Amino acid sequence: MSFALWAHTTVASAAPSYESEFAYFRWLHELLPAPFFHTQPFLVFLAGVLVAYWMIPRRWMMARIWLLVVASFHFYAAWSYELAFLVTGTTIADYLFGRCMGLTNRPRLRRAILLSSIGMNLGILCYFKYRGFFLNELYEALVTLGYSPSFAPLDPLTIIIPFGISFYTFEAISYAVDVYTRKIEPEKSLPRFLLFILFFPHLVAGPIVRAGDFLRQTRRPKRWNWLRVQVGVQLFLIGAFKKMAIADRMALFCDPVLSHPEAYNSVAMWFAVLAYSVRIYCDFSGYSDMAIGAAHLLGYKLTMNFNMPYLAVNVSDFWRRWHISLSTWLRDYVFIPLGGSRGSRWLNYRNLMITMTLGGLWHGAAWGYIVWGVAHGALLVIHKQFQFFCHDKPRLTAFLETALGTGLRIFVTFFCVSMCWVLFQPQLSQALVVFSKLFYIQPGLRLEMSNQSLWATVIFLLVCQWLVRSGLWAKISARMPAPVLGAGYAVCLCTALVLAPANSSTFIYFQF
Amino acid sequence: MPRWRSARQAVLWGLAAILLANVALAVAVETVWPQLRDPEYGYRIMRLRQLQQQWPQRPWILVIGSSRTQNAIDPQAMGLAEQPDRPWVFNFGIAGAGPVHQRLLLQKLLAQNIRPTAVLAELLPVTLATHHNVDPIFTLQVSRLSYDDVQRLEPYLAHPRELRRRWLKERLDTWSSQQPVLLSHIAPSWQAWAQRIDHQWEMLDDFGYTPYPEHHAAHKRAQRQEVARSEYADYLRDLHISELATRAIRDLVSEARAAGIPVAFFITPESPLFRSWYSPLTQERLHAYIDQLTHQLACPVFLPPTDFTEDDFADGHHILPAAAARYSRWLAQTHLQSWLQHHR
Repeated sequence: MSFALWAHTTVASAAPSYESEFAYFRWLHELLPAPFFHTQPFLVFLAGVLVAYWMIPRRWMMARIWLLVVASFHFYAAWSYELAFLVTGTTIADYLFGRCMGLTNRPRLRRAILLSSIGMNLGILCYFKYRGFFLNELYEALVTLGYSPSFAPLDPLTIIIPFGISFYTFEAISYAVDVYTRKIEPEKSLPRFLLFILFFPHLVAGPIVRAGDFLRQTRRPKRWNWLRVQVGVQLFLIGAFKKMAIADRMALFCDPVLSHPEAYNSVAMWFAVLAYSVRIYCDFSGYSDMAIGAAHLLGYKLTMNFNMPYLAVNVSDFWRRWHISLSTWLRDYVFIPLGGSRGSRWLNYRNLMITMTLGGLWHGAAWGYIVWGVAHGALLVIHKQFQFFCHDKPRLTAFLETALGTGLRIFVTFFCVSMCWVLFQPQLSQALVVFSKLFYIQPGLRLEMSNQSLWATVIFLLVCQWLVRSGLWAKISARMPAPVLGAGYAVCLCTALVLAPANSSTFIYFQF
Repeated sequence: MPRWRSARQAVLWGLAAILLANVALAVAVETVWPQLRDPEYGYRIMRLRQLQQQWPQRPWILVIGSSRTQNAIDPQAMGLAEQPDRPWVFNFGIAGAGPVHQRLLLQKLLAQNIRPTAVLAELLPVTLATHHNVDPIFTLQVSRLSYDDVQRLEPYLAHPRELRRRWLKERLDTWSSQQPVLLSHIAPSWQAWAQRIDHQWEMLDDFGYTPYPEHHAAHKRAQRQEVARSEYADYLRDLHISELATRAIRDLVSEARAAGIPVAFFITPESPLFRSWYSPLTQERLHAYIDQLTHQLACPVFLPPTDFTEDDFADGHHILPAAAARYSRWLAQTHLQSWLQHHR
């Protein structure tokens, strides 16, 4: 594909365009060519780390932490050692900012340190991620106004964006803010702080962890716990299945169509949008499941990132279930500081719009992502208005609470979210072509593949989510004998391996 | 039972089941299901065994070669199978096969006690030049090889250890390495067109012949010819026959002779455009090589007729079914019958 075409403004390539001058890092890159959790090299890396980690006696807690720091550094350095040093350097700077904040009680100095920390993190983020976008927009604006800019526009494809920069930047900012507001104590141990930011399961695509939650875990002695291992293995397998058997399969339907929407007919476009909705969910939640599973195997618990978002009954509910670590971050560090739900209704709406627009910008430096954020902000405002509208209409409220009403709300929410996914790309012009194809019946090419597997996947996903939501799965799995459960793991893995398309695509959220 | 104990059991059972599933598939593709490892080979060997069971006493001719052979030799069109006193012909073409593949195939068949009465091997000029180093060719299709194949290939490889390492790596993850073949068997419509390989057995007839899908041929002929030109024209302008290809051909002939099996070579027909890519120098070298085979190895080489037109081919060298039938009849009547007569 075509993935690069679909999201070419902020491409974070798995293969950096430069060769390391150090033989060690070249060798490392050969061992672990891409930081993808579902690949053989990563499984070998994870197995090696697990063996070494659990071989270290429990009382040598710091040795275990150092091992994870070194492993995490190597995990990142295998992709790009320069950027690994950059991430490590900024992490050490954040640690020092935190320590300095802890050493003084002078509010102005603390505030200055906080702003320095935020400035450094956002500066690096802007330099790598937003520089191209803003410079190019400025260039175009100046040209439109008749000026001849003294700088040349940047080719977005030539900009290398460090993997996971948006994720660890938010983690570092939340740490600085929490220390400033005295929600947490500044971390005194450098290795523990390095682990908080660099911990490889969450480094490149989250979940966005909070310092208070993670650093507390680094102090707890870790014991081998079979229950935890089982949870980790299950989550890892489920995540791998979602990524390989569902997300990559859905990419076969949506990628050709969405990268050349003008060529396809309206029916193909509807299928592509449905496939993309399924794909992005399974791709990102699959990655998150694998990250959480890998962390469990090392004795750490990362925050849950998804909770069946397509069963949300409204857009507010969707944001409580989708990318939970980001939505709660935006709530705590943007929405609430802006005033949150306090004040007038219009102030509340304004805060929602600002928060969601920033959320859109967080995803990518392109108008498509910004408009996507605005659209979600607008949907949240519309939902709030609808709630007010329903307030004095008990019969309507009662109907919406029935099974039919709930089904209808789920469908409408899914439809709105899916339409927003059309905007979730750098080029707005492409999105407009997709919308025109969706809502005006137009001829063109049909889907190249039989849509049998698309429907089968959608139905399978619905059944799985229904089983989990109804609580039936919890009952069934609790009563399942161990050999059956174990065979289930093998079936899950083998099915994922067989259903995975030959050319697996990268994780969508790696570019953010 | 304490929860931790049942969790431990589930994880360990899972690990054991995953290992077992991998070992089971690895053993199956090595032994009972060769068609899941290498469908072109596996399905042909199945068809061949069926024919051997049907006519256990009749002589038969093994035709080995590339995808050109797959499309060009239509044993049923030869009209030999219906006559009980005549040998039947089996087409064991494998896409991309050169002399080393042909030698490997004969070794595999003889090792399974499948002994043809005669062998007709394709002489594909391009592979005589391109197969000067077969390491990358076999490394790319390592999942199609059995353990014995890897060992048999060693004399022809520059780095046999590397191929062994790659083979082992693939077998450690057999479900992944055999994924396209498995899915093509379980749910072919779930694959993208480019990845589907079910045509390899769906279109195979009882005698190993695979007709070129005619409906694909007419349109895009020019495009396919261009692909062929970009792949082969340079080699055909200045053909250098590799030492490795020559060695493999000599080994094939020696092994067949040792088993009492006569060998002849044939070149499949090519379109006027394709033939125009041969430079006079290349033609000279090729003729010299054919003379060498005929005189030094005492193997006849059946040259193709040149009266086929562009429309008889999909891309200048893969022949279409009607022309394949015509060519097969011609080959049987003009060369095979007299050659076999000579060896009776």
